[in-house]
Amino acid sequence: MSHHLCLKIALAALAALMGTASPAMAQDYAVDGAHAGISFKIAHMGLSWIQGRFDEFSGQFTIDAANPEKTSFKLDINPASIDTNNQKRDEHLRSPDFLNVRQFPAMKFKSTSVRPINGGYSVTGDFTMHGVTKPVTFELLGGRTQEMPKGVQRTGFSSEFALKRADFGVGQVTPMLGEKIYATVSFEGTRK
Amino acid sequence: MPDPVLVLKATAAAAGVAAVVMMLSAFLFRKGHGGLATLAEVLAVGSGIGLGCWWLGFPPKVPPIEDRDRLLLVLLPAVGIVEIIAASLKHKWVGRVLRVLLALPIPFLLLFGSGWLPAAWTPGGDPSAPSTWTQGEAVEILSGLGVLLAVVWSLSIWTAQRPGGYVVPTALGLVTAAAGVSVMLSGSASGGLIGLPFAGVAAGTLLVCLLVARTHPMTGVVGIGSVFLFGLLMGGRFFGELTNTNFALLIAAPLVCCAVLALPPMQKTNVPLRFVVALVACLLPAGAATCLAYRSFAAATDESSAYGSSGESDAPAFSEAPSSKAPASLAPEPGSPARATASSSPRDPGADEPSPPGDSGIKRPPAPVDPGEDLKK
Repeated sequence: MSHHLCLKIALAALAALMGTASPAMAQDYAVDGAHAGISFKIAHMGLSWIQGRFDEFSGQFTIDAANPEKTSFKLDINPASIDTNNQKRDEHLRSPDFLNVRQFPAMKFKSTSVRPINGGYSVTGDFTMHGVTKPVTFELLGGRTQEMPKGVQRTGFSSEFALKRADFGVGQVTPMLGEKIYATVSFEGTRK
Repeated sequence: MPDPVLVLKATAAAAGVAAVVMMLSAFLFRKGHGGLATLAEVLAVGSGIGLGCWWLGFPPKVPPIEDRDRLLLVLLPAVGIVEIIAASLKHKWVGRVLRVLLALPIPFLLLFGSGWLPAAWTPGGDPSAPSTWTQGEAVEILSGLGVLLAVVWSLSIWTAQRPGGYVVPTALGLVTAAAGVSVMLSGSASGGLIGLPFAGVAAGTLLVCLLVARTHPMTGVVGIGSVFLFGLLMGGRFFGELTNTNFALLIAAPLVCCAVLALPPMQKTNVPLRFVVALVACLLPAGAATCLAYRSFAAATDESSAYGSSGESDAPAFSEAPSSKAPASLAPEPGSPARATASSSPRDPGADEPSPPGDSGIKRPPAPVDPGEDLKK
């Protein structure tokens, strides 16, 4: 009987040790869609910014503080969920003149290398839009953790970066638009 | 919408180069070898469409990942080869079989990799990804479209080989131009634009054929034109907003031309009258489709904005004017640190353009990228 008790105590101690050690291990997170956003802006004739966002997306990421090279980010965006606050313009943006969402129903990002920097990470990965995959690099700032609601560990990151639409063959028919798409990505993830 | 002058220039250039290539190949006609004559036609059509697309700024992309690229780079050359083989062989049934065999998979190849088809049909696709059609629906629809193309292509060739058959390439050129305009008005300017150079190509090749060969059936032009029209309409219907009605009217137009020429009373009339009647008959559905597309386009557009008035916006209307003073928490703070990175966007949209209208002189620090910095304050 006492032998069993000793075994239980030993297992409990091991579990506690593992729990203490867990922050140093890889932590998997799922993007919390309620606390995340992907928005963009593009110049129109050099006169104003047209602003928009993607309403539907999902993602997962893994943070490994001990081995930053094992940290990774993955994001899937539904391009048909584009929203620029004008229904007709959104329909045109979904058409073959721009995103051609029926031909290319997915936009994706998958990191290929992650390097820690002051305040976050420098992330390089493959971004696929309009059927074209190109490597992109941007700074992803953040990484603080909070517990909300109780028992749910969460962390968050944000970034701003620019993409040249010609690199992805988007909007060849409309030269009055700016050459660059300025994107803002901010998301929280809840630990799995 | 694209510049009409540019479109006219591209169409004229396509007609010119197609006519020149046909003229240069004129010696092939004199030998009377059908295969070589069709080869000349295919080269003329290919060079004309290629130059027209390049002139418009829409050369096909490699690899051909969009339907338009696959149509121009893969399918039309394949159609050209089929027509050359068909014209070279004595057994006409071989050509008929080859046309049907190529027509059947063309709808699948045009929609390849798109959200219409089950993801399992795309190599490397995610089998769990949602698709518009189930496997059964996709098989039924693609088969139906393949049969439709085979009928249009075969009947057009058959009619073109009959007396007065040169009305068929003329009709295909005009219907393809109408289809291009209809697709452009249906939310796909880039998709419809490439249809217009074919009208020029058909005119250029027809002119040379009538002047040099006189009785040549032009099966190369007709074969490529039939598939080109079908591909254009497929792009407009499945990737743009072309309606089913307009798709049906435009694909039916060359069939109307064939049907009118096949009517017994028409056999007794002279060739010029047959030409005019058949052409008018096929232009009726094509014109109706273009008018319907224009009406829909005009109804959705007002004079002040390319995308309609603000009343069509998704946003709720404001009951009162919003305050000009932004909430303190949203206003940029002069003291907040500016994170100057290469990726931060300029505040002035003109600074993003090749020729900026001028610096406004207003410099404000951008909001911090990291929300944690805002929290500390």
